Amino acid sequence: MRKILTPVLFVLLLLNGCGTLNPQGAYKGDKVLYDADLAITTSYAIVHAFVLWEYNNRSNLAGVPAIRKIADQLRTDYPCAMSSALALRDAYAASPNDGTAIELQKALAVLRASALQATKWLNQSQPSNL
Amino acid sequence: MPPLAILAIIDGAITIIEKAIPAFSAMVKKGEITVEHQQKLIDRLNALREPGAFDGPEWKVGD
Repeated sequence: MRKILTPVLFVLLLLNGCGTLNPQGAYKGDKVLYDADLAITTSYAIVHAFVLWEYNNRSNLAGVPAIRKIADQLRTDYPCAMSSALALRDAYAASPNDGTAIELQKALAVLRASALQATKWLNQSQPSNL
Repeated sequence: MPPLAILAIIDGAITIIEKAIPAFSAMVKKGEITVEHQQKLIDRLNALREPGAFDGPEWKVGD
């Protein structure tokens, strides 16, 4: 299963939305902003699902300390990365130019890395029948 | 590895896939991204700005 999940999430985190924006919508045709918001909300959904799962299964996972270690690292790092990404997203929205777009992409890369980290445990836990 | 740990890990993989697939579907969908879909995404993003986004017990380190 880990051989399936990790590549799927990798592709998911690299892809951007493929459709075209209705210009009457909230993004007013700004695909960069739409893709950024999609990346932010998706990374949160994945990281939150992981830390919640680890919290709910902590006793069962006591023999796999790598999972707790990764979860705790995300608990520490991810909220800061999210805060930074939201600030840079707002900076881009207020002033869309190459400079703010580049800074936003850097922040999104950190969030994508965090979401991928949430799948690292599959590689580290090494159960023989997954 | 204990059987309970293996079951928990399978459960975790399924949980994350369940979260990832709807987002993936939204990303690969062809055609126009509707006004309603855009507003839903804005609403989801704004929910992350709320103080409670990281307040649950699952976000506490060292419990």
